[in-house]
Amino acid sequence: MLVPDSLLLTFVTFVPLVGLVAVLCIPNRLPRAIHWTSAMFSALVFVLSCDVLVRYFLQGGPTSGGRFFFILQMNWITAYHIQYYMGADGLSVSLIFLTGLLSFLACFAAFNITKGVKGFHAMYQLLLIGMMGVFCAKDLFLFYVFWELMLLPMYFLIGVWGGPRREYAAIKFFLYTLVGSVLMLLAMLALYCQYREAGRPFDMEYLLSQQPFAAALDIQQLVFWAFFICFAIKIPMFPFHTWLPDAHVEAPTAISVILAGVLLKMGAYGILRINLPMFAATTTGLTLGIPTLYIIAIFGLINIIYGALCAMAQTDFKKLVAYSSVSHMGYVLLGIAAMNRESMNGAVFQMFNHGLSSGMLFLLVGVIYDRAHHREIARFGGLGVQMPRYFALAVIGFFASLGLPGLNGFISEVMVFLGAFRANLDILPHARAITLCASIGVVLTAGYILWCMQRVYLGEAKPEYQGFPDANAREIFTLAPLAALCIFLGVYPIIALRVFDGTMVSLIRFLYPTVGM
Amino acid sequence: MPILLLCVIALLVIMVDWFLPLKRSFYTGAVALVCLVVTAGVLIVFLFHGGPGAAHEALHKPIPIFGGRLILDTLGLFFTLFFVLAALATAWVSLRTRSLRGGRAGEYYALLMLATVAMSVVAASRDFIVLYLAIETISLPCYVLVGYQRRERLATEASLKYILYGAVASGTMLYGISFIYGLSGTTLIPDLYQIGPEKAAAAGVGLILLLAGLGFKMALVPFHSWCPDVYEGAPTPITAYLSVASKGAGFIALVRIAYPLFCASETHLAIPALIERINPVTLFWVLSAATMTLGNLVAVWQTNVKRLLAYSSIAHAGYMAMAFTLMNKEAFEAIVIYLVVYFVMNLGAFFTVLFIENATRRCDLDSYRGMIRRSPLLSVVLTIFLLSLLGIPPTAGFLAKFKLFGALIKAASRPAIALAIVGIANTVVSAYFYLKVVKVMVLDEGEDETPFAASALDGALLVVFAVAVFALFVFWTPIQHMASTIPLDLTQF
Repeated sequence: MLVPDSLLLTFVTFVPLVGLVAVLCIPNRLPRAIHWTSAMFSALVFVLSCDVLVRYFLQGGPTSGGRFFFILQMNWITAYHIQYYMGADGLSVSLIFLTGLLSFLACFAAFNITKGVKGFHAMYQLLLIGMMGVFCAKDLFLFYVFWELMLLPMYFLIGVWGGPRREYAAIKFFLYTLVGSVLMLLAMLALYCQYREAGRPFDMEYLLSQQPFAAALDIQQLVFWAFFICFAIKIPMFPFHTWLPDAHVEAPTAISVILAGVLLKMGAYGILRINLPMFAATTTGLTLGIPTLYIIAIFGLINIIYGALCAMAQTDFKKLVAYSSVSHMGYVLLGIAAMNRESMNGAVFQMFNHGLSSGMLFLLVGVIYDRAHHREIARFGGLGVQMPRYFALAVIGFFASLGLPGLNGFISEVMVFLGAFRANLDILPHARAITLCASIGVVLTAGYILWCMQRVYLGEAKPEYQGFPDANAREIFTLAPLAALCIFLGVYPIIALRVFDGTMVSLIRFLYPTVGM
Repeated sequence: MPILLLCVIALLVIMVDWFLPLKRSFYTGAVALVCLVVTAGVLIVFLFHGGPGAAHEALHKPIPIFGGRLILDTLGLFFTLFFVLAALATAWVSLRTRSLRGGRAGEYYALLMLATVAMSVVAASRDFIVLYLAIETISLPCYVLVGYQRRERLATEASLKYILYGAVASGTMLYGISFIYGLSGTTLIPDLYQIGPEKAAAAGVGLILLLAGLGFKMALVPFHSWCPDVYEGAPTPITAYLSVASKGAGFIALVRIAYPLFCASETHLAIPALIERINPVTLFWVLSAATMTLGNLVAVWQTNVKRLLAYSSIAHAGYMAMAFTLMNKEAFEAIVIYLVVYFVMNLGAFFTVLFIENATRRCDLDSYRGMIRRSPLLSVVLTIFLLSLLGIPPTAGFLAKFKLFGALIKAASRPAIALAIVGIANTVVSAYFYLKVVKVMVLDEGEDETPFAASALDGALLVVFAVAVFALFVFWTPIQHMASTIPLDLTQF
């Protein structure tokens, strides 16, 4: 490709800005043209994100030991020492690719939107800038700007194009996220005061090397938890998860895919990128007398079990998928807390896999919602007979989410469990007990997914669903690539693991230089 | 001498109005507009011809005039430009305001010009009497302008309220000045700081009375109660003008009075013994905290967009007043920058409200329902201005607040940090009502959804303001640089 390395991330991030302008220039009476323009720009972003991945491999990223690539560093606001500093390591690259893929596919899922098409796609492109920017920024202030940039488009996308309770869901999402942002802003101001003399108060690399407030651990803990709660709201970690079922259920299909597939990952990304390495003393030490990682693991455990139990109790198809996200993100927290090579790689792989499988599940729900105009599980039945092609894809999606061997979800869950089970007990006390409890989650997941599939797809074909058309070309186009990736990564996971293994190993070595992997 | 130039323009506008037939009074506005553009051009060339901050080089020595009653320096010139641009924008939208068409418009523009002259005198004043006269000269045309639509009951009421409050405030202020004169023997501002600490009690009373007068202009709590009524009743261009220029004049007056204190902290001179004794920090702490809290809390209940923006502008005065608890270079820059950013976002917001009012003749929140489908452009730009007022990145409002809170936290004293936390809490509260307007415009269904469009000229003006909101965010360094090159040098004052 023609883009030089240093500008690559800038292009990935800001191409949607051109898309935004282009969408705004098309008159309202040409909704098809608006859909296609937006899709073309999303495709361009996807191509660029593939390019990021390919170049990362070509330049020896997997063996570079977590080095950053495609770096562009410029002064932006010199008065506050803020830089325009972009860069990507293995963790970023994998999430940039995921974002590119999902936003490209989700754009096609938005083709059935008829109300305010221009506004929808303008907001969608704006959202895309924010998401990409968060994964590319290496300056904390820039990170914050991109983080905030997503807030408003998401509010509108849920609030205008959502379901019946859209306004409630949108404002709930907004308020939860805003509280998190304010906490992050306060933490950033604390960092600013600490390092303004040194001249690089927002440079992530510098902060990493300085370990802010290492001398005053009580302040460091406050800053750590301010960041952590901000990210935990996004993940969403119990007890900050209640915005998620509302937002997911009310959002239009395309936006649910983005929410589950990308936005939740940003929380985990923030923890891995900012919390763990920058405040190593708190990460490896105690908070209120309890090991910090132990707290994270316990909350991860609660997420896994509680999310699964909630999912099992749902009567709304989409809400079930939403709670399954809560459960699946629990594995990520558990994997992070166990802090060894298997578990950390498993956690990041789980982030990626959850992006694929939950994206698929939301698309699958969207397909039948478009036909049946309701989502009550109890009223469905026998759809498998009605829509065989759709059913085939659904089976892959649900089983990937369930963690069936041979599909990607299995690999990441097993890695998390293996890693957590053999975690160093000095790092994570009661690791085995926690892992054993968490493994109940696997059974519960199998329970709610199989039960749901049985009620929706199996059984006698119901008369009211007679004549439902099978998945059309557009729907297959959005689902098939995800299904193919689920199978591919289930059979050949090492290709994905190689992307971020170096980053994870260097993170663990940084936090625990003396402990073996 | 820009003040003279402005005086000439004001007189010219009056004379043009004499010689034009009644029906042609539109041209008076046009003449005022052209003259203002020329003045702004002259000032810009003078201030920035060698890049931002070049004026400092040009004005190596500020020039005292009228025996040091006035001073011609970068700060004064910069704010003269600020007031000229505000008048320019106001004159432009006044020409495009439906409710102001017809009748004699000549005096309208002449009064606007006179207020602007007086504001630039405030920015250059170095003497309490000059300051007082200038502030009175701002007030008098504004009283008339507020009640300009004589047949509107609300406008007349607003004008009367404004006059009554204004008269009391200026009386109070003059009384305060008489205290200071009695103690120092001169009316020059720098001589205030020569008063010995043993007279602190009397000087303190004088300063508080003086502050009450200025607080009226700045709409600080508890001198704010005129503000919502006047803002609601006045023609919307005048509301915009009052909220930016008149408020700015109050702030610049306070900056001028406190200038020696700002300088003292910059050059590490001892703080004058008098001020040490009076300790205005607590006073400003309470004033700013009360102003922003009341402004934001009361704004939550407003159902009229003009009133809502009035309370929001009270809250913003509170944010800016926070800087006076610090009195250092950082705080000085924060005030200057905040005023510039506030200029863009607040004028933009009021102008959008005006153009909506032009089309719908309403400005209650109910009439904004479903605005996004009626006029997408106006809704989008209003959203941008409101977000900037709220302070969400990537808008200039965020960086202005960041600078202000950053200055407070940099000071690292317990009261400063407490005030910063009050400010951040206030920002969260303000999210509610700014977003309420956005929500009403975008999410709600309106009864009347007939589309309308702003004319191309109006739309272009708003787009310029909206782009400026983003441009100031992305290109922050020039404005920061410009603010930091305004010299703080007591020897030159």
